[in-house]
Amino acid sequence: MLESFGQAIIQLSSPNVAIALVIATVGAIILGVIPGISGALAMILFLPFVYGRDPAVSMVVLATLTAVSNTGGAVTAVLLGIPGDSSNAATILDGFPLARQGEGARTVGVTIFASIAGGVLSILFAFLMIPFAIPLVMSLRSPEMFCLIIIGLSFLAVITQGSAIKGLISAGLGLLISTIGYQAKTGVARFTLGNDYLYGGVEMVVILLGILAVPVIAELVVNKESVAPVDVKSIGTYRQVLSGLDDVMRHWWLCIRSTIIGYFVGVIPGIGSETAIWVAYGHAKQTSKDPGLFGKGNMEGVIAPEAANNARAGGSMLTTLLLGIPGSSSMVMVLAAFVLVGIVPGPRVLVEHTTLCFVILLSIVVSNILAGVLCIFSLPLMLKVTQISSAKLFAYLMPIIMIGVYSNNMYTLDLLMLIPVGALGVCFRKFGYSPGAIILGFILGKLFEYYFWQSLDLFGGWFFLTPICMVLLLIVTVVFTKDLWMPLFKNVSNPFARGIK
Amino acid sequence: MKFKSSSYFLLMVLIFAFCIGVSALGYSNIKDKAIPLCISALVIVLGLIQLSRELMEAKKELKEKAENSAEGESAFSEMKSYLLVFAWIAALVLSIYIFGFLISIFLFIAAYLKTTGSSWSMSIVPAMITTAIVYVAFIRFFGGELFQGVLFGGYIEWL
Repeated sequence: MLESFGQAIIQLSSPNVAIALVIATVGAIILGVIPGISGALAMILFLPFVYGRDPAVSMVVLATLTAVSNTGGAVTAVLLGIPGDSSNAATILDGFPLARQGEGARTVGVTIFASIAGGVLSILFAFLMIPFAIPLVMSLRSPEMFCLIIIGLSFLAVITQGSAIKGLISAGLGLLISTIGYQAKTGVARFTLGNDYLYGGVEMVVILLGILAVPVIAELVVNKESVAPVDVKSIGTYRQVLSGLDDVMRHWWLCIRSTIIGYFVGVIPGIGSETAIWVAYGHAKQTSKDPGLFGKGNMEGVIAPEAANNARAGGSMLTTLLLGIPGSSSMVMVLAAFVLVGIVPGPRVLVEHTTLCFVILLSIVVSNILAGVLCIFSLPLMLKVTQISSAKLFAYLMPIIMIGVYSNNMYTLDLLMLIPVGALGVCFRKFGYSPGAIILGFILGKLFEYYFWQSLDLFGGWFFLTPICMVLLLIVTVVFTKDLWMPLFKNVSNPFARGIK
Repeated sequence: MKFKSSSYFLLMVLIFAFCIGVSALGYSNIKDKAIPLCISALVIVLGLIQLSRELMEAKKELKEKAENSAEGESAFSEMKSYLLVFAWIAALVLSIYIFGFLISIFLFIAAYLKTTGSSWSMSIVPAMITTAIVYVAFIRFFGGELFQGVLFGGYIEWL
């Protein structure tokens, strides 16, 4: 383990990886401040270029994009009242009022330093948990792997969306699309309609960009979003920004508690960043000496969600690396990247590619610190980025998407395929289906089928009656019956229900 | 009985699942057909439950929509906007097939920015810069290959 850790540090400091990390951090901040463009979209746009590249470089870029895209969004949430994405929503409640009271620079400093603290501490927790998790991971065989895939699908399908049925239909559709092409065990080509193009199955990059990227960009154009209505001329001095560190240090215990909240919410697959920030916000208000100031401009209301937000990335990354279950919907892209660089996603990743996993975790630490520093010195530029119009975004991003689709396979039919898949993605967004679930179903579909038949061949029809499988299936049952027990916890996860607003 | 637009989408999903299920029956080996058959059956059952829910809700919503015709108009204009976006995407794909990536990227950006209200210079200059960036970064720096189009095949090598 220690040897792998040392190798990870050497890999991370190699020029290729270091340059990739810096570029990805800058890219994540720029995309993070544009409302409607999340870190997930940045990851999707990058994914096609992962194929055939150095796994360390590719995974570092993806980890960075997922870890720090919230940091930039928090700055615009404070100064303009416009969150980069939904995970910055809680920061507005107290951050924007503070900015209007003339504390903009200091509040930005608080968001940056709280984000750094949350991101770095969560990775420390992740490293501490790895030695305890590896023996568990080593005991997993094909029946347990099959059950883990079911858990991953059910979490993402049932929990992340409002309608469980729609989530399950999405996951089922993803699994069905994954069956197109060669069957892994028998080699028979299925559902190809005699078309050579479909023999290898539907191209993953087409599905990723079509379902996730095209609809987001189309929606921006249709709704004419992403134009910040306010032009902030003066933000404050750098000294004021740095004074935010004092506030974070003064509330260090709240920062650690919020980090722990964000980390554990991140560890649970499919819960999402929104839950983490609102639970942390609610907790901050409950424990504050001055709860009446919440919503009017309380620094604690900024520290808690920002620390939890960045801590969530560390937690969800650990789940993804340890179990092969995406800790959040953006982690689905990490699983996709594993497939594209030739690594089979699943619990073996941490055992067989320990150094790479450590590189990923360490890159989150470095990128969080780097993002903080960059945010401080690029505040005026960040505010200008929010002024970009949706028309320009569409004009510049569509060609990148096309290059991404083509460069993966050098096949022009993939470009054509992007249109119906993109339309499918739009329908998914419009009608409340889960894009994450269909992608996960598609990525894990082949493994789902493979492990099912292997378990059946090796252990017979009752392969799921092992202790670990029983526990995993019990968890699935708990997930499916969430409508019965979730109302009991509703007041904890939704601070609005308790009148915080 | 009137369907909501989401119900039409659901019907298409059901037809897709049904086709996969029926096709799966044609395979002789159980390992080839069992999983697609089971999943398609599951999707059909869940889809039918969802469809019945939506049909029950449809009546209520149709009444509300009849009262507020502006809402129906905005939904129609939204659909038109989406169709326009996809027309642009289709035009880009067609252009890439005919002229190749570099020319198409220039044409697409310039044309789109111009039609959305930018001046000629603010349409052409960013288009040229973006095309140059793609050429330098993707082809020169990464050594990638981009489709040259059926019309100008070989033109890029000459450059």
